[in-house]
Amino acid sequence: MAFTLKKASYLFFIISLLFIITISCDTNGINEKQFRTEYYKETQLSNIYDNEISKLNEQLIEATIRLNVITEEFAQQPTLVNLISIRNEWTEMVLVWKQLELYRVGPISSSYIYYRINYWPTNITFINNFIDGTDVINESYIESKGGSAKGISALEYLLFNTDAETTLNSFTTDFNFERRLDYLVSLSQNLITKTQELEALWIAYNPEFISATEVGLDGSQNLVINEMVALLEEIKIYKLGKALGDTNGGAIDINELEAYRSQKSLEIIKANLKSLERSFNGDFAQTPFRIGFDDYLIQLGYESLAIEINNNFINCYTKIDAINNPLIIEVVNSTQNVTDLQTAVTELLVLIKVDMANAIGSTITFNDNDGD
Amino acid sequence: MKLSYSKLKLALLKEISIFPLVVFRIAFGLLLCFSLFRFMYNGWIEDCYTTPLFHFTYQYFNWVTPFETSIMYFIVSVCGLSALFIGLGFLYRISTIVFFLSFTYLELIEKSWYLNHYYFVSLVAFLLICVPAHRRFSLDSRIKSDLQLNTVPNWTIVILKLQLCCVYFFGGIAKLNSDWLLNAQPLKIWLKARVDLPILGSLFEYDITPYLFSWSGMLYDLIIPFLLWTKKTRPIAYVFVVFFHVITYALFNIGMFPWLMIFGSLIFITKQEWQVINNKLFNFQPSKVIQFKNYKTKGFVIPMIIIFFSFQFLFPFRHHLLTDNVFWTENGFRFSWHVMVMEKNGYTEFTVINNDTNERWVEYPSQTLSTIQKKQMSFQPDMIWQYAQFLKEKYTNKEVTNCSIYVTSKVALNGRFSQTFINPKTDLVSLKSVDEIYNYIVPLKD
Repeated sequence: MAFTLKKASYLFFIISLLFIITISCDTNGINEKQFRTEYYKETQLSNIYDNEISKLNEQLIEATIRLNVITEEFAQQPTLVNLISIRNEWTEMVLVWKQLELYRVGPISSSYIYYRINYWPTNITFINNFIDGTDVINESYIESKGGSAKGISALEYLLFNTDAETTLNSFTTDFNFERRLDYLVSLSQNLITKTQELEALWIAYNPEFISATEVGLDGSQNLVINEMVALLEEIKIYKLGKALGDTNGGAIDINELEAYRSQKSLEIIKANLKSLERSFNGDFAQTPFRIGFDDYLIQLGYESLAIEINNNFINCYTKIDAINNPLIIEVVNSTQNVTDLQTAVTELLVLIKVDMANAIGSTITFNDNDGD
Repeated sequence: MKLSYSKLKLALLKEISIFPLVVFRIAFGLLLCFSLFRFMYNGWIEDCYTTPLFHFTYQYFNWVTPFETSIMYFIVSVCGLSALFIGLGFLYRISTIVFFLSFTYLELIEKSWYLNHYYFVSLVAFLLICVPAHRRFSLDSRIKSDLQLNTVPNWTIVILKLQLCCVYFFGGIAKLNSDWLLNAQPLKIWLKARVDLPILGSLFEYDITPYLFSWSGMLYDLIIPFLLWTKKTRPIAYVFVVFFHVITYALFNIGMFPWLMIFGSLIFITKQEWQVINNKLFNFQPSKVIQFKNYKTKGFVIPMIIIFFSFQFLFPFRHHLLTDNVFWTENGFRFSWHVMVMEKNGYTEFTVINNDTNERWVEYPSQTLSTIQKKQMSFQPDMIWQYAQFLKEKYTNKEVTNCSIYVTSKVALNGRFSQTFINPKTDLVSLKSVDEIYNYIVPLKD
C-alpha cells in the first residue's frame, strides 16, 4: 500500500497530538507506577532533609551554643579544666559539622556559608595580625573577616595549637592574651550566627530541594550524588593525599592534614564517610522510609553494585580501624596504613563516580553537553 | 564500466528544480545561526575555548588554538552571521566559505567537545560552497536577477542527500553490535532513568521496551535513507523522521542534532511535493523566473564527487582495521557516525615519578581540566596520552626532566562494572606517538 501525502499528514498530526499530550501532561495525569517513582524520589529527598540535614542543623546549632557558653565561662575563669571542656565541646561540634559537610548543594553552595563556617587550612598570620592589632574585637569584627580567619579551623588553631598549659598561658599571661580571649569568644559567637544562617538557608531551600525530582542536572538526587563524589575526592586528595606527599614529590607533610592540631583528622574522615554511607542507604533514623540510592540502584537492576558499594564502605572502616594512632602520628610512622585507607577511599570513589553514574545514566544525569 | 559512469554522469547532470536546494539552504543557515548564538548565550565560549588551561587538539591539528575571549566572541559571531547570510542567500559564496572555515576552526580547537553533528555541519558547509543554492529566493538573486535559476543539475542536491544518508546509515551500522541488539544497552540505562516522563515513562518500566527501542532505532537508521529517497515512501518517511527526532529530543540531552536532521531531511522533498503542501496549506504562488542559461557543471565536479563520497563511505569503517572493539578502545570512533551508541564513564589519576630522585607526585585531572574535558579524557586513550604529554611539559618546566608518567584508569561501559582501562605499568612518556597507547589498553572483560 502506498502512503500518500494525505495519509502521511493525518498520521503526522495524530502522532504530534499524542506527543504534545505526552510532554504537556502534568503530574496529575501520571499513572500509578510513575506516581510511585515520584513518591519514591520525593520520599528519599524528604528523608535526607527531615532525618539528616534538619536534625544535623539543629544539633550543630546546639553544639555551637554549648561551645559558646563554655567559652564565655572560660573567658571569666580561664582554667585548665575549662580549656579542656572547650576542647571537648569543639570536638563534639566538629564531628556534627563533618556529617553535614556533605550537603553543599544549590543555594547552600552558592552562599559560600561553608567557607565561613569551616575554611581550612586557616590563615594563622591573619589571625595573629588581627589579635596584635588595635581594632575592637567583637562579633561584628569577626563577621567582617574572611573565612580563612574565622570559623571552626580558627577556633582549632586558638584551642589546640600547643599543649594545654601553653595554650592556657596564651589566654592568661602571654602578650595580648586579653585580645586573644576576645577573639576566641567572638569566634564562638560568630559560629552560632553562621550555623543559624545555614539552618535558615536550608529551611528556605527545603521545599525546592524535595520537589526537584527531575533527572536533569538540577535534580536534587544528582546534586547529592555530585556532592558525594566531591566529598570523596576531597578526602582522597586533600584530607589524605596532600599529607602523604601526593603534591610535593612524596614528602610526608603532617601540616597538610585537616585538624592536625586537635589530632581529629581520622575521626573527621570517619564522620564524613558515615554521613556518605547513611546518604547512600537512606539509613538516617528510625523511620519506615529508609530509602536511599541503594534502593534506587536495586530498582534499576544493579543490586550487586549496591552491595559492592556497601562492602567498600566497610572496607574503608576496616582501614580506619587499622590505624591505631592519630593520623598525624600514623602518617609518619605507619604510612602504609594511611595509604591503604586512601586506596580504599579511591575504590569507593570509583564505584560511586564511575559505576553508579554508568548504572544511572550519566548522559542524562550528569552531562552538560549538546548532543550525540 | 564506461557505460555506467556515463549513466551516472547523465543522472547527476539531469536538470531538476532548485527548490529543495533553496529550502535546505534557508533551513540550514537559520538553524546554524540560532545554534551559534545559543552557543554564545550558554557561556560555552568560555567553557570550551578560553577557560581551560589545556586543550585536547586533534592529531595533525595541534596548531589550531583559541584566541583570547573577545576575539573568540568575534569569531563565533562572524560564524553565526555567515550562517544567517547563507539562510538569506546574501553574499552566498563568501558566506559559505567564511562559515565553513570558521566553524571548522571552532570545531578543531577542543576534541573533548567533539560531536557528530559538528562534523556533519562542517561537511555540509563544505558541500554548500560548491552548489548554487543562492540562485533563487535569495538576496543575491534579488540584487542580481540574472543569477536566478529555476533548475539546477541533480548532483547539487544528491550530494547533500548522500551526506545526510551517511549519518543515518553508518549510525545504523554502528548499532549492529551485541550490546545494542542483545543487551539493549545503553538504552536500558537511559530509558530506566526517564520513567518519570509522563505517559511514555510508564513504558520504560517494562523490560521489553529498551529492546524495542534498540531494534527499532537500528532499523530506523538503516532503512530511513532508502525510504526518504523513494518517492512512494517519502511522506511517511518524513513523518518518521520528525517523530523519531522529536522523541529523542524529549528523552535525551541531545541539543541541536534532532533539529539538524529534521530540517536537513527537507532536502528530500521535491518541488512537486512542496507544491502539494503549498496548495493545501498556504496557496502561495511563486512567480517563475526567466532563466537565461542553465547552471554549467565543470568537468572535474563528477570525479570529485566520486572521490569525496568514496572517502565518506570508507572512512567510517577504518576502525575495523584498527581495533576489535571500537566502543572500548575508541580507536577510529570519531568521524564515523557512532551516534548515541554507548554509556561510558571513567576515572583517571596520573602518577609522575622523577627517575633521578624517585620523587613522586599524583596529578588529578579535576585540578586542571574542565568537567567535560575530565569526563571525556577519562575513557579516551588518545586524550589520556595527550594529558600525559601536558604533564611531562609541566614537570619539565619545574626542572623534572627525566620523569615517567603512569595512569590509574577505570572505565565502565554500558552497564558493566568498571575495569582497568590502560595498563597501569605503562610509562606514558615512553610512548612517542598517540597511536602507541592503543597497544596498552587492557581488553574489555564481559
